[in-house]
Amino acid sequence: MTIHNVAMKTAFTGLLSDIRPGPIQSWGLLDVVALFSTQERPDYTNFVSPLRYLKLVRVPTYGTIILENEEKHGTVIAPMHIGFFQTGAQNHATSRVLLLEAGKQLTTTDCFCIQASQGGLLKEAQQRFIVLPLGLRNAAWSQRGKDGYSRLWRDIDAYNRRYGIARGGHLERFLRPYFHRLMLFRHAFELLPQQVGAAYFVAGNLVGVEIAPNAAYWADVGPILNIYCYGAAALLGERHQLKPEHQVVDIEGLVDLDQLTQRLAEAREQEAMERLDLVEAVSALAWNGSEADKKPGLRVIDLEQGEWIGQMVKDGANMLYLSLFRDMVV
Amino acid sequence: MKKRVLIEYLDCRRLPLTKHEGAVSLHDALYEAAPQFYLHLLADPATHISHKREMLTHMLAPSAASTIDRQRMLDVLRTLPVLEALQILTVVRDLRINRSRARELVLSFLIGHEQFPGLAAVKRQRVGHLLKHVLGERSWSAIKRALAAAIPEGEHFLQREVLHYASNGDTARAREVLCFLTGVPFSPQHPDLVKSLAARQNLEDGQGLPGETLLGLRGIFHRRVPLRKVRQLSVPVPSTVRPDGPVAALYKEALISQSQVATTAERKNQNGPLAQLRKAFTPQSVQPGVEAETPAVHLDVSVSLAEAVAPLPLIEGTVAIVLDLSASMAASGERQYHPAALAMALTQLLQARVRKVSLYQLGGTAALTEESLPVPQGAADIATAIITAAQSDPQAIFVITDGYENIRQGDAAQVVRGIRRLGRTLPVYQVVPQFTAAENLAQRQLGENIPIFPVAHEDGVRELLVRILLTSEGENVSDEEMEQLQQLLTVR
Repeated sequence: MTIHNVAMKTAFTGLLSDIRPGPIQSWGLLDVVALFSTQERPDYTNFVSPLRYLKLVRVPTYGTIILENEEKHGTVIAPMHIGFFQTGAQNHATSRVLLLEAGKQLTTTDCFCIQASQGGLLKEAQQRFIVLPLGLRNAAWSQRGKDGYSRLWRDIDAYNRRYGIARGGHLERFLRPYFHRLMLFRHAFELLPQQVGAAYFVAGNLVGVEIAPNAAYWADVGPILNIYCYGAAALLGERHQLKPEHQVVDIEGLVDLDQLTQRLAEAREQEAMERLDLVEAVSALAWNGSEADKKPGLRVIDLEQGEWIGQMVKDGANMLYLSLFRDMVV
Repeated sequence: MKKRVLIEYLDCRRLPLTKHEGAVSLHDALYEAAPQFYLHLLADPATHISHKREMLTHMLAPSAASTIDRQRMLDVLRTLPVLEALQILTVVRDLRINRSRARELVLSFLIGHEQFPGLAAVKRQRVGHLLKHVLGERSWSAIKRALAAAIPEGEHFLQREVLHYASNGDTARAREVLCFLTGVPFSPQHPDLVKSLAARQNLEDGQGLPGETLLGLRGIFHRRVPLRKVRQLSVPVPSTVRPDGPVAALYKEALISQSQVATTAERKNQNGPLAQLRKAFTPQSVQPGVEAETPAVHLDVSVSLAEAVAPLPLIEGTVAIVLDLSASMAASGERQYHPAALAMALTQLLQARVRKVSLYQLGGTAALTEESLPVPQGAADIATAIITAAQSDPQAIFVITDGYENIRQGDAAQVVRGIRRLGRTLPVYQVVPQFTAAENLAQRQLGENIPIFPVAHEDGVRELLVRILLTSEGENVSDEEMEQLQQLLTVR
């Protein structure tokens, strides 16, 4: 069966110029537009999946983590705000994009501890990845490059309270009770062949654009973003009684099934165009980034434009990785 | 029998009787329309116990004496697991039913059951109370005295009142159990009774008894024994997850092993020939909006399929299946590939047992046939598939899906409303391949206008076949259909 959806745009202009949109999937308040590379964008196969090859070596002190790229022939781009999660230890999250060359280790000192009342240091075994919930990423962004492992606790405390959860800079207090609901966002959004990214909408509002170097990278990182980052934002939207913004299929005066098919397609088409216009508008903004980090042939660039913030990794003029987001207004 | 009566019953039978308004009058209508069929509904594994108790109450009514033979009731009850049958029979005591028909049924079932000693050992109080009720207080006391005294008059009395019901004429065993139930001192021989009695002295001697029984004994005789000790001693609760049926098992095994082969190949050589196999199980380079063109993996299920469908009747009918093989049907963890494997098995079984089936597949690396193994992939546009399926004008549409409708959640419900608006009444059912009955499907129901059938085993195809039978033309169920319904609903 053909996936029947959306008028296909060939490509965006501006920031996402080598990216084209695919079908929209939706679940509850969260809509996801799959993003694909245009034919011009190279398939950056030498950038390997962080889930498979990024190893947490150890946490020597709170706020500092040592990471290793276990792949001998590929670079790891550790996604922005990735967290390492382990039972019985203080979970940590990064504050920015990190680049790890093949087989190399990297020590980073500006991480956040996200478990205020939990002792113990992370060990390399049994680590699990998360990405910080969207509602925390603004705060994490503004405190990148600074010292102080506890500097996100106050924001986590405020975030937890938005869910009616007891005080404390302890992210697990949110994750544990909501885990079964967050997991729905893993299954509800299907990974599409050759997908390299997604644009995320909560209640019809564009809140994030994420691009990976290649499809294998996205296949691993995409579900984590769905669950912990944007799924969490959709749950928060539900708590604030936001409603899905969907074009309803008009069934008045229907003549036959063909007409029903047509009206369904029209409703979807219209909704898709509305969503894509929002992505296009963000893509076409005047993005003037500042260089934040540099490795041979690669640059990490900070992006800020109005309420939008994020980072991208560029190889010359080509964008390899992008994480662009804004806080959800509720 | 009117089809609508049976459909109403089938729709409500999984829930307690009290959850359905008018359930008692529904049972009246079912019984009056087809008493013999009604009797066999007792054996339907999907029916909630409260409905079965209601059935027994109906069948023990004086008016039923001429239509339902006691022996036939006994035969059906003996096909049930003994604990379930006991739960049903307990309605006799709970509702204070005092007819001789009820008395004979209970005594024949309990004392005549091969597992009478085992049942008494684990459900002493319930069995004792039930026997006491049907025999009467005075007879129960007289039996107790006769068991204790062992005099010829007493022996004659016991023989006449209870012992002649004994299984295979084994009166010694029946006597032993009656002593146990009445509290008359005796030397137990049956191992279950030995264990149960020994546990009264020392709880550890009751190792292997059900936790519920041990908890009862602890409450009376061993109040100081910690609860965790009871948990250690009790027989492990059997897994609630049934083993897969033969066809689903074949699919699941093939999907898992292919996945493992692909992963190993990728690890060993990312560019070698085996890595190409991996591509059959990962997203391919296709344009969105175009079907994935991936080489099909060969898997022949015809032999298992032939065995699985052998006991099922062939149904005359036209049905459309919307089969969701999108990526989420692969699931993960202990459920990995369960939804996809069960969905494919159900589809194959329906295709083999319904005269005309149209299949509309969503996602997957290849089209499902008896000789292919599609791997879950892609998204699920269920709404469009329902419209396409409706165009073939089937009797019913089965949407076999995990319920993650992600090409706009809610479109399927909206489309069904559109189909109704066009005057088409064909039923659209959502069939959810479940891993356990505990799964919460509330958020995964396609819509309130699409009834949901959770199916945890390929045996669930019986329910689907029943639904197809009941969507045939005409208001009444024909004799031939009634026979097929009985075969489908009551065979375990």
